[in-house]
Amino acid sequence: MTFSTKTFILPVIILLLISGFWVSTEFQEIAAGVAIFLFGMLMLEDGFRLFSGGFLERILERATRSVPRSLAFGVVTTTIMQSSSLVSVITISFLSAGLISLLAGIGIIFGANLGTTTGAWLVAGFGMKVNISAYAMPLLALGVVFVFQKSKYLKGTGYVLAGLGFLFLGIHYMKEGFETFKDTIDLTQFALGGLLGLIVYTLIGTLATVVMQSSHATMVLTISALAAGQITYDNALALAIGANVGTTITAIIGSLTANYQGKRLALAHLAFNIATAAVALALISPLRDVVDLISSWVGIAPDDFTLKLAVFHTVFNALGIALMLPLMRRLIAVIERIIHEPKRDLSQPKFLSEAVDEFPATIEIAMQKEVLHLYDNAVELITHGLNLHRHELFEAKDIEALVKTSRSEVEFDIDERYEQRIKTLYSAIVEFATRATGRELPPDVVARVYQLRDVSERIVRAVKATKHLRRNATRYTQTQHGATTDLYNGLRTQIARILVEINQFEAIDPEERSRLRLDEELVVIDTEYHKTNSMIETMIREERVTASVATSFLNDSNYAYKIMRELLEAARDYYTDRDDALSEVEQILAMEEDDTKTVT
Amino acid sequence: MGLSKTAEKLDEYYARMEAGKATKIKPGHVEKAITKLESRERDLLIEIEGTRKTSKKERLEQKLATTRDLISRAKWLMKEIG
Repeated sequence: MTFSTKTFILPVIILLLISGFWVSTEFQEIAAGVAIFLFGMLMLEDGFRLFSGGFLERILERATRSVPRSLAFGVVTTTIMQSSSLVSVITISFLSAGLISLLAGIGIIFGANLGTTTGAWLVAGFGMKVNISAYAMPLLALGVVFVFQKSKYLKGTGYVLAGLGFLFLGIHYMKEGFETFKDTIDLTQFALGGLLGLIVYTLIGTLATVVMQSSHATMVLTISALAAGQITYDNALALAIGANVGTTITAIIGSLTANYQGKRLALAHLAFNIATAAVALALISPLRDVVDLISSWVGIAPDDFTLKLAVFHTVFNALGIALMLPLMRRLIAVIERIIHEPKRDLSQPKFLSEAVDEFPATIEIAMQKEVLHLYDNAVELITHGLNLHRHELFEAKDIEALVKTSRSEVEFDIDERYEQRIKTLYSAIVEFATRATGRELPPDVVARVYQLRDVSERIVRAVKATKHLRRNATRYTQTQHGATTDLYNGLRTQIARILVEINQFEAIDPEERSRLRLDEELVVIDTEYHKTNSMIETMIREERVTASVATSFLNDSNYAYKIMRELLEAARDYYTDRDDALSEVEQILAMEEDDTKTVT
Repeated sequence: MGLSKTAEKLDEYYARMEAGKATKIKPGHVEKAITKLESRERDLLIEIEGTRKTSKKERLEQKLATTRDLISRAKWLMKEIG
């Protein structure tokens, strides 16, 4: 029987809390303050999540085109949302979906580290100097009114307001708790000086942040205790350093369900924060002098230790960024060596993971990429099923000639390959779509997810039809069977041509591309299907093929038509224009099945 | 030219738009679709010109007919929404 550390953590925390409540009523107030503060953080995060129906994602896409932009994005978003945890989770999710690069992700995390220091400024400069609970009450009352609204954005606003209210209320209780605490117990008697003090308090700061999963909460607690004179300034500095290390736990937990890129980001975050902490600990004395110097420049009183702590928090994080920024690419190289990209397993989903179903944009993009992955696998199976090779086909100048000369059987078990590379992936797509649409998503995202699921269904149907066609297509084209060989080579050529057309269509610049171009192919395949069927009737009459061969061929011709139609319809839906209005125009103009039979 | 189906789809679109489930189409959107189709028409004409193989030429001519049909539909749509 094995016990993990996790098994013990919860009972230990509960035991500590109960003992604390029993010993001191002030401790109850402080603990309640922390709990209310953390609850406020959760509400704030939930509120911002409701705004992530495209707005947040659009900004993220544009804001990460360069390292300075990613850095600035991390600073600004964390300052606005007051949660580096939420920014970390969003970044891991976007990285897992392949929406941003690892370099951009690391840039954002570095920026978030600096952005999170604004929290200390707010609490030290505002929370400790005014009666913050006076602001909490109206925020809570207003927030709850909004929370009960139907509109997603009003509800989000409600959560943000109520979250802020709870944050303020939590700060108030922590402040009050420490104020009354100092009359009964003097915590400074536990203060430790020198190197030992630095190390012990850094570890306490780390541990507190790991348990609360919020460096913000640790900083507020530290500032409150410092304001009440319950801890020394030196110990508070060490707690701030520890909080920075502990905060990496959120990214580590978030990366557990992410792909290898998410894990790389979490490791980069840990490396950055440990390096920053090490530098801060090593340079603690000069850093204190720098803080004093800056404080005197900006007019902070020499004994205003709470504000000086906020200055220190910002200075050492800025120092960390200044030190690590030039080493970013080297850091990435080391991390890539530690966490390898897993060997490509074509049968496993590459983009669908629990980490991406956090946000609408990542859901849509991950679905799009996974469906393309399924299509790639399907093209491989279809070409091999027809005894062709993709690289030869996509480079061929004369498809008909290539098909005629490709007579050797590509040996593989089509049923096994279907189970491995198509069915597994398709099941993952359906499962992901069901899970994703069960969430509260914008209607356009839900519609697109369903559309992509239908696209993958069409691809699967095309592959299934190939399985049926393969036996006769191989039998009649490996060796000469006169007119029958020509008939089957005709079917193979038509399918091969459609695969090439879709491949060429994919390569067109999306701005120039119109899905209406695929309508041309739908008309062509309809015409050829009818031509082939009339031709076979003539051949039977002229006794060029037997009735039995003709019947088999007509069945196979149906399968071939199905493969082409399903692939073209799948491509039409997959490459829907991103401009909604233009997509509407194309849908109105698009040829339906009846139309394609009339245009000749 | 299957305009009855196109007209049906336009009616369905109007119904969706009134229900707030579709984005409004402006003449500029139809113009953009026409521009893409006309560019495709030009490309096909050049390709036909340079093709000797009869079967390929026939296929390209059929594609050209489809593109021209789509252009007619788009011009009709332009009048309808204009």
